Amino acid sequence: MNPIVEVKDLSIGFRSFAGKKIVIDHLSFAIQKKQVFGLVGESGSGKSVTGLSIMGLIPQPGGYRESGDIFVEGESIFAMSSKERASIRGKKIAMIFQEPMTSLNPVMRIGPQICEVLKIHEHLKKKESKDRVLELLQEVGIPDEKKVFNYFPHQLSGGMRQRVMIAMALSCRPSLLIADEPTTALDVTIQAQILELMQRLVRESGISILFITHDLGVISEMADEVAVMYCGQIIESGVSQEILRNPMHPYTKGLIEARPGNYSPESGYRAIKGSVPEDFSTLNGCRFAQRCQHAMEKCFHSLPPVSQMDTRYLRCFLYKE
Amino acid sequence: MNTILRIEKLKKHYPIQKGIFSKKSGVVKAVDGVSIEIQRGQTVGLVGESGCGKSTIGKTLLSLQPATAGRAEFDGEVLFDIEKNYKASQQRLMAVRKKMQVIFQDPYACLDPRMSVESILTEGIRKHFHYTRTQRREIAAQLLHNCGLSEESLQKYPHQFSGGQRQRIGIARALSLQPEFIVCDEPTAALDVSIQSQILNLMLELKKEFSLSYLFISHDLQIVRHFCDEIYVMYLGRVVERAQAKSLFTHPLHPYTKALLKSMPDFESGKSKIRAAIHGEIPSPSSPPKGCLFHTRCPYIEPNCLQTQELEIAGEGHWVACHKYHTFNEVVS
Repeated sequence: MNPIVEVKDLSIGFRSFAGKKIVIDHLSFAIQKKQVFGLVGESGSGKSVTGLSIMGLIPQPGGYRESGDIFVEGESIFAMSSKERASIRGKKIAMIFQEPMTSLNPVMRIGPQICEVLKIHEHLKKKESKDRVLELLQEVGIPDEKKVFNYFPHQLSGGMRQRVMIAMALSCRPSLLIADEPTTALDVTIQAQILELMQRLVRESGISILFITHDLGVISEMADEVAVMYCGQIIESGVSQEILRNPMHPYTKGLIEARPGNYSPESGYRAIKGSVPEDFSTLNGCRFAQRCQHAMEKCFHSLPPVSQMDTRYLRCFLYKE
Repeated sequence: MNTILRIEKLKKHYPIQKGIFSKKSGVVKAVDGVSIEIQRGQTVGLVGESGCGKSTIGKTLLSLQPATAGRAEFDGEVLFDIEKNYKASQQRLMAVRKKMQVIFQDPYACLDPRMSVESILTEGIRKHFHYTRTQRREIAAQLLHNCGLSEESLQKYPHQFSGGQRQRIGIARALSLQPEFIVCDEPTAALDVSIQSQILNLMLELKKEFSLSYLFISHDLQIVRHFCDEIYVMYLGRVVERAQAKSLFTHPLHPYTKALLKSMPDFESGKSKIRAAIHGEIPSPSSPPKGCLFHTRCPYIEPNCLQTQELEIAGEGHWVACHKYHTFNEVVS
């Protein structure tokens, strides 16, 4: 089966007056149809840049592709003209963000905002697009959709705004939805509602989701496959339940143990010592070596290669096939 | 054990003003009759969703904002008693404030970017004590050391630190006046998981070392669970349940607490059908529902729920504001 999106050996860097800095380093993964693919990592690990790059939106100024390629339904997005790329955005791939208020136009009513997408991509007439938008709003669980159609974004609560964003993202029936921390700004009870909605979408409309988050609990409930990122690299990836239940990389282990629910009176909260290195492009060895309990001599000098074990990919010297 | 802080029927209402003459057109009841008691050496958790008034309690407590009604007493000293029209004078407040400090949520916003770490840490000391400059510097270095930072950091500025380190500076600043009580307003919400644990451990250590009491404000039940001794669950400005941490998690009584616990993404259960425990949104605090505030979202609603229900005792050290809790508790649990 052909994957919907395939990222191959992708490296993204930023140029500035201080020189180049690689933020995504030889990333490879593929997202299949009807799959929820989780991308986990701490802030600064490069998960959002990955999401944006798939949309063909490498952050500017300064962002550039060092190497690698991204294929959307078999076509390389870097080989496309910018016009072709624009036609993919919204139609084949759509994206939602953490804080819906910053991605909605505050001076435009909800209805026309969504209609705009349909007008550009599907060339629908006003009347047709209005009917379609009302349908969409209903689909994402907005009560009283006719009223909300004429609301401004500030009249809605955070959860409702996120639903509007999802409706907008779904308007052209994309095959992939990139969700960048979609529930981080929401309360737990609302978060559960949004997650439920996203699961229903995967089940019913067969969309795939690239779910970017730092919350392992959410990943555990949502994702089929997961990739753990640290300093721009995927350090462990595979079937999510296997990885979360039986983590192998010391960083993944550390993350799972660091959950506050894992407190014990003897050892307190389990922390990973140290902090994420600020500039990791100068590090030769394993990026996690300084914080790793099992670090060996060679971990500091050479980068561990990616090894495969069954369905799992791992970047660590501790394990050999 | 004695009580270090007692709040009685605290209310904080914000007027809604409209038009060019700021005519009062309504009122937001951010906190509506909350009583809290904190024993010396205890950590009390205040949990709830955004807009439930948990941070407002912290602010009024520290007299950063005037209360609308109620009474607060800290360490035997009355801070304010609105019914009796009493407010502690600035002088008395100065003395009390030395003993109560605060740690804020956002380590990026709570440190002045133009002050060096040394001046951040010694600002309070300069105000409250009479030390020489070298003594102050020694104290600041010691504080940094206690919070896991090196002495060299004294000369640095906030932008040179990562989020976790900044939060350590924030904690060191809170400790600089040797307080007895600290209000922690979501101190780890802006931090990554691996750093979050470091900060929580640090706070536990400091609590032991300096015999502190904490009021821990958070929306994250997982953290509160092990960090606090007693937990108050708030909804729309009122406390709906109060219990020892252990019994709150093993026997939640209020339907809202149950919903909160059920909505937490569960790491253990694995990929499952997510069940939104409650539907609908939090009502606006400017026009809260009548009677039990939760009745608009409660799955167990009955006509009785339109009457206001105060906190009542439901077990040893366990209070709940729901008059149906004993009926559905056996059926559902």
